[in-house]
Amino acid sequence: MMRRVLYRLGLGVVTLFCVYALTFWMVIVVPGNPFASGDRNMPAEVERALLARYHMDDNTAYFFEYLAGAVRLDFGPSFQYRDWTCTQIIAQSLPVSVTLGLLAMLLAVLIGVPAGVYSAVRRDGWLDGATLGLVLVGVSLPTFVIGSALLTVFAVYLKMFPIGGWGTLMHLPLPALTLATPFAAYIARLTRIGMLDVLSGDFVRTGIAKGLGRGRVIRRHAFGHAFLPVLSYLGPAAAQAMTGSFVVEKVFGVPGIGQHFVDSALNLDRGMVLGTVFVFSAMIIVFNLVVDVVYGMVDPRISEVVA
Amino acid sequence: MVWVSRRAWRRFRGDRLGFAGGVSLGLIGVTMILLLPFSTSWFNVQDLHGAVRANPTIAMPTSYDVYSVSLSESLLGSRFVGFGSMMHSVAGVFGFDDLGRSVFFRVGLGWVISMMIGAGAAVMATVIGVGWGTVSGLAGGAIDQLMMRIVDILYGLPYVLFVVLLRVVLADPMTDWLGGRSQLAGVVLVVLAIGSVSWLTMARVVRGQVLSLKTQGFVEAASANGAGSVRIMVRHIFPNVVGVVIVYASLIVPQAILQESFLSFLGIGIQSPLPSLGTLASDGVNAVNAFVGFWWLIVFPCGMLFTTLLAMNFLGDGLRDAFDPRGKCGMVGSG
Repeated sequence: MMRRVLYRLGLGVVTLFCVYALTFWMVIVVPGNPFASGDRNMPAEVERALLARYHMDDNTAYFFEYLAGAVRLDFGPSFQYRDWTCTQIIAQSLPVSVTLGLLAMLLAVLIGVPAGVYSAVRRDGWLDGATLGLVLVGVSLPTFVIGSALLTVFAVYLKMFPIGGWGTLMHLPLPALTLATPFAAYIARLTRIGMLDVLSGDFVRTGIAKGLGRGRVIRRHAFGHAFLPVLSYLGPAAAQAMTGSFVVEKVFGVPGIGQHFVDSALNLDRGMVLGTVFVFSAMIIVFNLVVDVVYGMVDPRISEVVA
Repeated sequence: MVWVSRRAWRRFRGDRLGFAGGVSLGLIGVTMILLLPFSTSWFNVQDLHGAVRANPTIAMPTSYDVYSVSLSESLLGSRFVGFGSMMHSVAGVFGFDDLGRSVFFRVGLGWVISMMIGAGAAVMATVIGVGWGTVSGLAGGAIDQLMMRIVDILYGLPYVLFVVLLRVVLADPMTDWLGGRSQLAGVVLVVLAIGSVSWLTMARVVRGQVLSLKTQGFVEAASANGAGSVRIMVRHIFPNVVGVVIVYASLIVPQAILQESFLSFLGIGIQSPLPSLGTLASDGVNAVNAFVGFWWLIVFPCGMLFTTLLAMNFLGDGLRDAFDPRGKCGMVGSG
């Protein structure tokens, strides 16, 4: 187990380095520099001095210097927001996005798993129909449409929630639910299929033949198997949920990192782009590691195999 | 091979939802292609005599002349001037947007553009995914391990960040490369950005197929007869993975269309005035604030998007059940 964790941790560090290098390459490939863009017409000497000040005249040196800063969570100054360092901006807005993403994942599991289990156990019941409806909406409507619909109904007409913003508990449910919908749909689908598969298995039949109640067989024996595919989906899903929150943030006016990232990519704000990608990737690698360790504990077959 | 596909077709015919999805997709497609001459000439025509954001109506648009002129000027439309007067009356059925443009014709062109983006991304993802999966499966050993680890790693990365970066970073080089046609460059870039992150599942599935094919008699026989690895790949492996590849490619299309709508909503998708279902839906969402109900700006584009994606998902699931009965991962789930 320990060896597996160490192996995955090492792999994670290598991955993070590769991601950083790739992002660095993409941001540096862009022709032009942040001082030349916009309407700031500056003399050539000033521009050269600025480039030298921020080590943009020598990409190789900058690569390592920035990396050294990044591991200490120092992402340099932002070119786009004056008097702000990238670390300050990220520290202020990233927790918002992550909170929203994790809350949505939690909600997706809490909705998707029971919906999938019940629709598999009582096929063609009303809950099966409702789950199908959820799945259809989840795969066929963009989240910004779902979000706007929820906003119109629950915030504007029913006045149950504030229309937008961030800060109180009442601000959370609508964006989290919106972000959760596609993931809940996919998890319900995975659970339902896994459950149907398991319910026709030998050990379930044996359990029922031995006189165990149907509910007990489902809870104690079938559910664990059906949950495994969901567990391995959680890693990629978290990566998508945290970045998927960009769209939801815009619908609900949540001050997350989404708009900052898009703006900084558009304005070639290198520090912000590199810093955001770095932090996001690091968090997602850690999250994947946790999911992996949990998977190994739930399914002992896999913990023997390193790699 | 023929026998396999006939059996697959029979299974597909029995799947009512999948079949219905295919038929409705076909009907929508034929309608949109028939409308194409009119939607390409009229998607950007402003009817400013009527009220901006006018209600849906079946009356003639007021700037009749503008429509006729722009139809006769357009490359595709010039042959259809005769039908033009008839088509005028449908310009208003979905209402007009905030610039006085016909939502009907914008949805018409937007559908085609969305479909092109979906198909383009699917083709790109297929080429990368099939290549990656085949090489990985055939090579085996350390190379296989390495290539599949890379796929695992990419699965876990926040690919949306890279879609945004690719779209933004390559915008200028691509425009230069296409001779300054920035509209076209925008479309190509969206396809590139989405296609380059959508090939992972395809690579995994193809590798699995190749691994199981590799041990079968006819491949070993070919190899014993001295066929090189390229020949084995082209003559013996590819024909046998075609079915699975078609299935997974058909499932990439709706995902790519959804991705494009997210990019459009963030302001980095298809650039105006070109429409796509995603830009139309996000424009609609932005225009409709709950206090003034411009409902037609959101209902028609979103309805179109919903119907199309639903039909495609049903079709893709139906195809998967038909070609790959054991890969039960359908949206509705097979029991």
